[in-house]
Formats: sequence, structure tokens, C-alpha cells
Amino acid sequence: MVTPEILTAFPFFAGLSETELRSVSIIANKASFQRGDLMFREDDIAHALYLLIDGWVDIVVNTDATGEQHELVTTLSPGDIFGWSALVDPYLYTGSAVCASPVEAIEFKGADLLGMFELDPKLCCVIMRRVCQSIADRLHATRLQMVSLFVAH
Amino acid sequence: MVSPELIRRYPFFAGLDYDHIVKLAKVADEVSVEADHCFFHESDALENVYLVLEGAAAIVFEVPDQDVEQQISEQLIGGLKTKDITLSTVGTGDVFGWSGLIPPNTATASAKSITPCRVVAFNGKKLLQIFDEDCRFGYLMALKAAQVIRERLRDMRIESLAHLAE
Repeated sequence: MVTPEILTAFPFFAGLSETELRSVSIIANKASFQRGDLMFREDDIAHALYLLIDGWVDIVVNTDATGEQHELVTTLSPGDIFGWSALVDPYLYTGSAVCASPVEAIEFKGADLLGMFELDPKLCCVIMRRVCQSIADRLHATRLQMVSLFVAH
Repeated sequence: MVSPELIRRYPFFAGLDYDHIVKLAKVADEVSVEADHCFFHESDALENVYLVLEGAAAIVFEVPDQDVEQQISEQLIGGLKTKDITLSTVGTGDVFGWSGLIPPNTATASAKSITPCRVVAFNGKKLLQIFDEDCRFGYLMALKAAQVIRERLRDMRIESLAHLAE
């Protein structure tokens, strides 16, 4: 069970009212993974978004058509949000998430979040803006990776 | 101010009520620029979100030019010579400068026109005010911004792959 108290420890849920936190905690599920576990694969249908609570997660992307070669885009640490493609059309993960250590995370099903948004526009605006920040961070990390490719050649 | 009809036709604004379009049009101005015009530099406080009507612009990182010998003394007084690495290009119907709407509201890259361009510039501060007043609208626009960022991510992946294949 995920309590509102667990959520308030993370900046992503800062500033929400008790009622809002309760709504969010109701649709939250705890998930645990071992080191090396693949949480989701690039191009899979994105069912869920995650908040990392403990451990590190590598976001890797395929660098060739066969899917054999990978590049590390970024390593996520506690407090980071990932799997945000569950909220963004076309709802396909843009990278694979591999556990770099034992991992504790909170999972939110995309359908549950979208349902909650229908009922509470203010909450959904706050959360969606924060999700945008996470996506923007990912874009920045990917750009840095791309620049390092150019500079290396 | 621009006419709502001007922006309504672009796919980015699909799915918005006419009221929303009118609100957006009120905080927008049409701007024409020459080629090689710099809209903004990376880490500038970003004032506008742009929609391209005509022309093309490049989203670039300015990195130290390693092909040119640089004196440390010059670098210390801000004379660092940089070259542009193009991350993506935007054309008619594309929106850029959305990072002005997301904290910390600074540009995440530089944007320079490749050709003469006509753009619509939406005032960032006024946009944020509109979204604070109308949460549903704010949510819809955040969703659209998310999609734009996601598309940029995918564009770059394709460019990186092409580059690696060389």
C-alpha cells in the first residue's frame, strides 16, 4: 500500500493538498525489481509511469536496427520520474529501463492517471507540468549524448 | 495580436476549443526575421514560444570549436569561439521555445533561422497566466508540449543513428 506520507517525501508530489495526495496514493502501487531486471523495453506499449524510490535505473536506447547495440542515455536516481510515455501519444516507451541495482519504485498505470485527470483538472495540470519537466530533462540528456557523438568524430 | 484563423490551421493546435485559440491569438504577434537571426541562446530566460509560419530554423548547441586554436586569455574574457551543432530543424507548423513554459523557464538550446522566417511569437508570461486561470487548457497544452518534446527526442535518435552509420 502506498501512503500519502511516502509520496510527500518526493519533490514531484510537493505542494499537493491532503485530498490530492490521497487521490494519487489510491492509484499508486509499489513495485520491486532485482539488479539487471528490464522494467520495460523501447517501443513497448507504455502502460505505466514510475517514480523511482530507491536504487538506480539506466535508460538505454537502441543504436542499430537489430536492437543488439545499446547506448546509455541517462541513469536515474531516487525522486526521478520515468515511463512518462504512458501519458503521451502514441503511448510507446522511447527507451528501455534496466535496473542498475535492486530497485524500489512506485508504479502508476497510465489509464488510472488519465482517469484521475478527468476528475481533477487542477491536479492534472500540476502533474502534467512536472511530467513535462522530466521529459525535458530526458531530451537534454539525449542531446548531450548526441553532441558527444559529434565531438568524438 | 494575430488572427485566430492564422493559428487554427496548424496541427499543433488541433483539438483546442475556439475560445482557447482566441486566447492564444490575443497574446501573439507575427514577426519576420532574416536568415541567421538568433531567436535565443541556450540558457537565456525564454520569453516567447514560437510557431513557424514560413521558413526554417535550426535548434543548435553552441560548443567550443576544437578546430580553431583558442587562447585561454580570450576564453576568460568571453571570447570563446564556438561552432553550432544542429540538434534538429523546424519548419512550417512546428513549435519551438516551449521550454519557456517549463521551469526553470530558460532555453535548453539556441535557435537560429536558416532562411528568412515568418513566425508567430506567443508571450510566455501571458501564456502561463492563461494556463493558471484555466487548468483544463493548461493541461491540454502541457500534453501538446510533451508530445513536441517526445518528437524532438525521436528526431534526434534518428539523426544519431544516421550519424553512427556513416
